[in-house]
Parts: sequence; C-alpha cells; structure tokens
Amino acid sequence: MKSLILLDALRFLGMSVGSSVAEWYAKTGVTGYIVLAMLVVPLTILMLAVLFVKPRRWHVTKIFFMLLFILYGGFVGGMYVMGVLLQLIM
Amino acid sequence: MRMVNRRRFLQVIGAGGAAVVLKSMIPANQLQLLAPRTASSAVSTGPEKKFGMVVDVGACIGCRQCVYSCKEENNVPDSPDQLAWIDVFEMDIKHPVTEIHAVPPDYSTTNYTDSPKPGKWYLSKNCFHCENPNCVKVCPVGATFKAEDGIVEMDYDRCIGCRYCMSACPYNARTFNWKEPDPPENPNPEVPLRPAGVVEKCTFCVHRTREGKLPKCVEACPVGARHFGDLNDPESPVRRILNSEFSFRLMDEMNTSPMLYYISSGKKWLPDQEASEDTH
Amino acid sequence: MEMKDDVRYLLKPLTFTGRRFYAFIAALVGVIGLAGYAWYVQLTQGLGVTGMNDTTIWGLYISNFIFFIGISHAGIAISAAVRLASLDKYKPIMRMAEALTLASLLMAALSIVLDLGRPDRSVFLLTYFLERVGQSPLLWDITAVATYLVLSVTYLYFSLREDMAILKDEVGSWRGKLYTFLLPWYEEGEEETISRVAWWMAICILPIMVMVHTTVAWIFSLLPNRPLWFGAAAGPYFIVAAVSSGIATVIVIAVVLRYLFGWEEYIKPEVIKGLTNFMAITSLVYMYFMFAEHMTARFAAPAPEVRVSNAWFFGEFSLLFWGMFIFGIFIPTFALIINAIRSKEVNIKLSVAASVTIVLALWIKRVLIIVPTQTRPLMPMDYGLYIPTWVEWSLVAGTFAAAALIYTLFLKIFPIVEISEELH
Repeated sequence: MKSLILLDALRFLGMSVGSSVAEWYAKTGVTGYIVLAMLVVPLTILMLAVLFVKPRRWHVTKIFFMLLFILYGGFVGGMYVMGVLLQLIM
Repeated sequence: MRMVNRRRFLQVIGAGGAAVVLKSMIPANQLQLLAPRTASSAVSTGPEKKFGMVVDVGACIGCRQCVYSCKEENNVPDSPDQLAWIDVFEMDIKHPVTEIHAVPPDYSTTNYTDSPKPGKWYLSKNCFHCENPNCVKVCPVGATFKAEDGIVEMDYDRCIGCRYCMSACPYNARTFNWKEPDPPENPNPEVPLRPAGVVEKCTFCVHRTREGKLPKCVEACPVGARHFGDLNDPESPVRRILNSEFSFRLMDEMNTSPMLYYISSGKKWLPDQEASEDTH
Repeated sequence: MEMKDDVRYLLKPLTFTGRRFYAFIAALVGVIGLAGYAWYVQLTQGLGVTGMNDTTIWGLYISNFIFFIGISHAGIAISAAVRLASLDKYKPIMRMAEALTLASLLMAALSIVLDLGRPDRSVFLLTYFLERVGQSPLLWDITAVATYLVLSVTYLYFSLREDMAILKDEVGSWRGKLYTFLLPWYEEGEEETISRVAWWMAICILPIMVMVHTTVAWIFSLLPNRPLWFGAAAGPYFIVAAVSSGIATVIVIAVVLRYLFGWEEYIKPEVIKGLTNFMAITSLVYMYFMFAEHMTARFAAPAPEVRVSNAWFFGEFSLLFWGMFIFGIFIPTFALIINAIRSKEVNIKLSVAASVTIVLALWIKRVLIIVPTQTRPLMPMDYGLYIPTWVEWSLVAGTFAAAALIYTLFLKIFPIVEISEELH
C-alpha cells in the first residue's frame, strides 16, 4: 500500500518537474544554446590545447589565434562587403 | 624578422584604413537597415488581447470576395500559386476535413468560376497566427515575430528571403515576392508596399484591427461566414461562438495551436444531386 | 630542411604550365562568366526567373548547397585517418583532400547566397545572431560551417608552413615572395609543435564536422509538416552520403592528378584501393539508410508519407530515382565489392568510373531529398511543379566551375603534396 502511494507521489513529482522544464525549454529556446555548445566545446578545447602545447613555441600559438581572428573577421567583413556590392546591383 | 614585423604592422593598418574608407562609402539607407527594427505596423495592443478568427465552412459559398478584398486592401501582388493571402479550396463532401491531407489534387482546386457547386464545400485558409508558430521559431533574423496581442507579424525590412518560414508553415500560408511586384492601381497607403525577395502573409489586417476595426475579409464576406475578435474578451463574437459551437482546427497534431477555428453551423452547402438520390 | 632532387617530380604543377592548363582555365572562366550573367538576371529580375514557386520554394540551389557541404567532409576524414589512426599510406593525398574541403565549403556558402531573396541583407544573419541563435536551425548551420571553414583553412596553413619554408627558393620568384610573406616568425624546428597542433586540430575538427552536417540535416528534419524530411535519422543519413561523395571525389582527383603529373609511384595503387573499399562500404551503408527511409514511409505510414514515397517510386520523379539508384549507386557499389572479392589488384578504371557515377547519383539524390517532399503539401492544393530554368542550371554549373578554378589555382600556387613528408 505504502509503495503505491510512493509511486503515485513520484509520478506526480516527475510530471510537474517535467512539464515546467518543458515549458521553460520552449520559452527560452535553450536547444540552440546546447547545439552551439556542441560546436564551442571542441573549439575551446582546441584553443586551450594550442595555448598549452609542448614543445612551447609561442609564435605558433600567436599564429593560430591570429588566423582565427583574421578568418572569422574576414567572414564577417566579407558578408558586409558583399551586401554593399549587391545593394548596388539589386 | 623585424622587417617582417613592420611589414605586417603596416599591412594591418592599411587594411583597417581601407575598412574605414569603405564604411564611409556605404549609402545611408544601408546603415539604416542596421538601425533598430520597425515592425510592419502599429505597436501591439498589449498582452490582454488575443486576436482570433472563426470561419464557418457551412455558410461559406466559395464566392472568394474575401480573397479579392484582401488583395485590394493589402496591396497583394499575384503569386505563382496563389491569388492573394487567402486560399479557398473547393472540397468534395466525400472528403471530410480530417482527410484533407489525403485529398488528391483532382478533388480540390482554387480555380473555379461559379460557386457554390452541388456536392462541394469550401475551405478558406489564411495565416492562422498560431500560438506556437513554427515559422517564428525558424526565422534566422527574426523578420517574423509573434506580437503580444497574438498577431504573427512580418518585418519586411528585415526579411532576407531565405523562405525557411514558408518551409516550416504546415498550412502553406505564406507567399513570396518572386519579382518586384507591379504597383497596384490604387494602393492602400496604410499597408507598406513590399520589395522583391521578401515573404508576406495575412496580418489579420493589423493596420485595421489595432484601431478597433475588422479585417477586410470579415467585412467583405456577403454571407457572414467569417468572424473576428479578441478571444480573451467574453463579449467578443469569436469567444461567444466558440463557447457555444462545436469547432475544430486544421491539423492540430502539428502542435502549432492555430488561432483560426472552423465551425459548420450556417446555411448548409448544396447537396450532391446524385448522392441524395442514392440515399433516398 | 633541404630540397632533394629525387622528389622534384612532385613539384611538377608548380614548375610546368602547359597549354592544357590555360585552355582549362579559359573554359572555367567562360562558365563562370555565364553564371555571372545568370546571377545578374536573377538579382535584377528576382527569383521568379528560376523554377521555384510558392509550393516548391527550394530547388537546385539548396540541394547544391547540401552536396558541397557533403564533399567537404573528405578533407577531415582523410586527415583524421592519417593523424589519428596512423594510416600513413594516405599521406600522399592529405593535402588534395584538404584543398577540396576549402573549395567546396566556399561553394556551399555561395549556393546559399544564390538562393536568398535579398542577398544584400545577408549580413543580418550576423546582426541578429544572438537574438535568434537559440531557436533557428539555419543559424546553427551557419555557425557550424563558418567554424569548420575557419579551422580547415587554419589546418591547411599549418600543414603548408614547412613545405613553404623548404620550397621558397625552388619555385620561381613570385611564389617565393608569396611563401616568404606567408611565413612570419618561421623558425627551424617548429615542425614538432606544429605537428602537435595539427594533431589536436584533427581531433577537434572531427566532432565539428559531425555537427556541420547534422545541423544541415536538422534544417529539414526538424519540420513536422514535411514527410520524408521529418525524423531523427537525417543526421547520420546525410553524413554517410557526405563521406561517400567526398571520398569518391578524392578518388577522381587523385587519379586525375596521378595521371597528369606522372605520380603513379607516389600515389600507389594501394591508396586508391583503400579509398575505393572504404567508399564501397559507406555506399552500402547509404543503401541501408535509403531502404529504412522508404520502408518507414510505406509500411503503415500516414497518407502524406506514402504519397511522397510514391512520388519517388512511381510518380514524376521515378525515372530520376530508379535511374540514379540502379545505375548510380547499386551497380557501382556491387561492382566494386565483387571486384574486391575476386582480385587483390585494384582496378583503377573501375574505381574512377564508380566514383564518378556515385558523385553524380548523390547530387541527384540531394535534389530528390529537397523537391518531391515540397510537391506534396499537406493542404488540399495542387501538387507542386518544379522545372529548373537556365538561370539555375547556369548558376549550379558556375559553382562547379568556381570550385574547379579555386582548386586549380591552389594546385598552381601551393604544393598539392606534402613535400616535407617525402623528405623525412
């Protein structure tokens, strides 16, 4: 008898926690951040590995981060420039 | 080594300078595109309201006055598959609403010239302004958004024309400007004209409804098959209908929670002559 | 490290430029010119000049995008095999695969821009990034592709450093100046660190590569109103297609370069054999996925699924589907498997023929993924009709020509083989 009451209580608890989590999840769009994390985590691991790689050659570390900066920046800048050029045609 | 460093330094400075010059060459309207967004209409009337629509498929005679009046009111250009933001399907009575996605193309059409025809019922569809809209979820720039009063709005200045929202809508409610639309003869100044390359859809006539008026399609319907109002207001026509009539929504399983309900309480459509002879 | 004479034959693309090269470049530029005109027409007259309409809203550009993302996976696949699994016999083709990744990722991005209604506003994808990234699968995809591109270029650069240092006096004056410019802070002995960094990059790019094609698949497979798109298997399904088509393209490139520059001893038949066997296996896995997809759509499926599957099997897409499946995937895969069982020797002509048909079939397959589902809407409206126009064909041809141009220019500017590995 007691076990049935306990099971019922657990079920009720599970449902209320589950539905509030689901509601929060739907409102905040946390899915996207989890997906981003799947990308950011390997990238972060890589950046840390390059920072601490042995044998230490600081110029290699410098080049790595410079390249990341230039390439991401180039991506952003390139999109902007392309937009301006296309505005002239469209 | 120092020569290389100096050269790189100069190159970085040069690139930065070029960027500054380039930015100053950008025409002013380009910069304006990055300014704070303006919605396609007046400000939301607040979270207390929840706009919804009720369409009576029993009363609908398929005259398409809603389609034409919407087109005129909202400066809607012709689109490859649709005349305007509202589609009216001519459905065979053998195919009930629960079977609409099994309907082969022969049984339904938006191309008909005289209606109501015997044995047909008419299903009109426009954007349902869902509570849980898939289109809003997938838009990468937020060009479509759900306002507090329930209207799913379009921001034509932000849309990049990726058409992801069109892909996500289970009801094919959206149309795209596949070319620069021809300006209408008498454009309605209250509704913005759209450029080529942006998505558009029914807005529940947001320029009218936020001023307390009815959407044009509701006014234009000659048999009063369309109703509109605030679902949160117990005195509104839609709330009174929904509290007293059996209603249904299309494809509820899509979990989008549409705000357009269907009832079938008005004058019935003309029975199919052959069928009624068989059953008697 | 010093250059040795017995490996000078590996520098042939950098030291010799024949008439065929100029003819090839001229042909590519011609195609790109036509594509440029087609894009001008599309930009000024709107997307209506394509075959797309309100029912079939996505067509060749999107399937082209998926295809190019797919073949870009070859680079990291082979680099990972060499650096992480120590499969050193694939070292000769490492850089060829990485260059393919670079060219194809750029063309994937271009394909998306070609599809936008307002490409002049594409920077909005960044402006409103933080506001929308929580919800929009398109933004997840853009982040993944951008990160993959940035890391692939970085990886390619690091692997090129030692080669450029060795070769900067051997390959002509303008290349020498370019290499010197691209070698800031070069020191002898940095190779060990760079090798460690490259190892870490290979290991970290692998999950990013998985996420790239998964987010591409999620653009389609998270939509419940699209039969044969919606479902959980889309991620792995797309990845298997990507690896198949990527390896197939690498096989073709490796055999072509081998023949053009006389590198038969350098790229040994065992390399082609290994790649071919791997491709045959992934192709088999792909057929398994195709079978599972259509069984799910037919066994006791809801009407919308059955209708789309029927469109593939018996409808207006049936010729395309059965043609690409039987002649493009089924026959080539089993021909390769039978050949592998019957003889230890690799049949290079068969490998190339099978690879070409598989790549073609998988390009067609991407179109089959995108188009039929849209032609069968859930609403009781007419079936969609999609007939691509000259604009779309020109632009698709343009992306292939541009990819080939980028690759050929890379071939001419940088060593396409790892010279430093040969000198060890």
